[in-house]
Amino acid sequence: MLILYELKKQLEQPFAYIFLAICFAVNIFLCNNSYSNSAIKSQSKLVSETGTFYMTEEIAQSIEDAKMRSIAQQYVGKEISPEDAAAILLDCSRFGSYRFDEEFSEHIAEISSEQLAKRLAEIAEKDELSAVNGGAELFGVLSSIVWAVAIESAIFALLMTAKILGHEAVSQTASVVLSTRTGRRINLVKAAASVIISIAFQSVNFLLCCTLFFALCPCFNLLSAPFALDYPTVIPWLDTTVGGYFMLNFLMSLLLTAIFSLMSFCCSGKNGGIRQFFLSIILAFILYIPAFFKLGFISPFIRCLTPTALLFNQPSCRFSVSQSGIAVFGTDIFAIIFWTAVCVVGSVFAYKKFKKSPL
Amino acid sequence: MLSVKNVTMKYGNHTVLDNLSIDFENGVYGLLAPNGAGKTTFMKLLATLHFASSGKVMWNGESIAALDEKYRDIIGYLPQQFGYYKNYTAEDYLLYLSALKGIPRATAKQRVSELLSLVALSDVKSKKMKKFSGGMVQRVGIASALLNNPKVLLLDEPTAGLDPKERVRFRNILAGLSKDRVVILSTHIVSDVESIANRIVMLQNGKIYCNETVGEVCGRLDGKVFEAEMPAAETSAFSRNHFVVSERFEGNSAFVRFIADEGDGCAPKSAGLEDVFLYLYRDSEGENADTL
Repeated sequence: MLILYELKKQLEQPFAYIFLAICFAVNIFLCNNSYSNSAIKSQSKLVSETGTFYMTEEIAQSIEDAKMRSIAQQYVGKEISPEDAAAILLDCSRFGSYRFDEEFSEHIAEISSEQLAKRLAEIAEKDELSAVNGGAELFGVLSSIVWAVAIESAIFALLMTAKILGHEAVSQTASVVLSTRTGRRINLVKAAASVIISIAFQSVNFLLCCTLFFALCPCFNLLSAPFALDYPTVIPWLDTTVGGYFMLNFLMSLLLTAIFSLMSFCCSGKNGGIRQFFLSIILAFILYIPAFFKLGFISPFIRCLTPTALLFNQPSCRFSVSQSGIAVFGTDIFAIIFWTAVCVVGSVFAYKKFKKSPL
Repeated sequence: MLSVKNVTMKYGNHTVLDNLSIDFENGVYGLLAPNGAGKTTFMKLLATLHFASSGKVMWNGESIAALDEKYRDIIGYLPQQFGYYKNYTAEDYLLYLSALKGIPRATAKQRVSELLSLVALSDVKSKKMKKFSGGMVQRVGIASALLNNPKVLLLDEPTAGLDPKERVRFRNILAGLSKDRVVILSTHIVSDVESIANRIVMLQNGKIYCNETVGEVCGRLDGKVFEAEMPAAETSAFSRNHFVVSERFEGNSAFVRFIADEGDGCAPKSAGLEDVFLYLYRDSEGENADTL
């Protein structure tokens, strides 16, 4: 019952709606990336026209370069999309090796259409690798939206908590509340409300952005593309589609928002002010490193400290760590130790917040 | 019975309440002291918002710290400045506080309706509180303190912002409520308590200076309050040599009410609570007050 009142308090803040509108206006630029969108549209169109293609002996033979042809022949009889086959071959021609292991090759099946050869020729001529990687482009755009929305939700949680608690501190609401029977437990209710409202904000913001994006760039068919085709070593234990992996990212971002919102609440002081502000910035930096990385600010090494890296075993993270030689314990252990420390510190804040004398 | 036993309250090296002891039984207690004398601290102590540096507060023989929620269940507290949510209606705000007080929603709705009627806010119960005047907000606060039908009602400066008509209404409400509960009314507005308080409690230097009926308190100045009529031009000179409580001008004449051991031929007047208050705290914020 109390939580409904706490939620109502937040929902009746005009600030919430103004901030949502501002976020949406900013996100329009993310959704309307003409370069990515044209690649995605092109891929979507091709898939809708040709469906799944299979590598054939005939197509493999049509590739003139001997080295590429020999590579292509390895995939004869194995499932592969035309775009990925093209990407493989272009990669091979550039780097002189291929990056796929046997597990991945199991995903590749026979190509049976002549359109592949035509498409390969076009791509090779234009030398536009990104233009053929539609699934990856789609995932890139969508995950940019997910993390942008997540950061916005974190800012929202921070400002909303500061606003509500600041108002209560200034207007001395605590005196009334804490003299009531259940007033000493109100912090838990407020924390729960803060988490719920942040997640709700993120979901609505995300829904609005997705609606806008798919209106600008209709490509639903790419959501069902196997994600492992583009990122074969990212999720060795999880075979899912682009859409599925995208939803996993979204759920992960929701979890981070919940953690951030809770910890931001716990960090807030009596005056809802400066201490919370700085602690929240530090917290946001830690939690949202993947998002900053997405924007190109953070090195892959730092990214391995994030829970996303831990959960999804980011390959670039592994690569960077092994190259730097820093992670002698191994990436996973390092990340587990780091996150255990974060959780312990968070728990101390939470304990202090919920157990200390009220006034 | 609410008993305060040898309570001392310190902020750092500053002692606000000094070994203070008092028992409160059913009735209205007017807690009088100037601003900064520790009234609010004392009220917060009784509302469990502060904890004493030493000593105990007992309710029916049990420590309120031990009673915890059971004690908070029987108190109603209206702080000097109470927070409210501007976007809440009066009804929402009271229902919210009812939920905090653990009152079932159905009971709460009925109780809120009764209380809004009692404080004459039924007509505006659905209006957002941001549109309320200061007096209306204060009336909501008074209703909030009464939500759980408390056995101990703690009101810290409850009449601030109320117009005379509202103050009279409020006094009447309190008088009716005091039959079967302890009402402690902290104020520096003497007239608020003079007419309804069963006992007046005055704080001085962090201690209880007196805990007496209004008559007994006023009796302390019996034969010491006088009124002199003089030309208006002489009042300034007179004020320098006497403790003047009030001055009233009529044409070229002035009627000066003053307190002194001797009246020097002036007409004696019966002492009021305000006279005692002004005389007791005549040169301080409560720290260097004189005694009678």
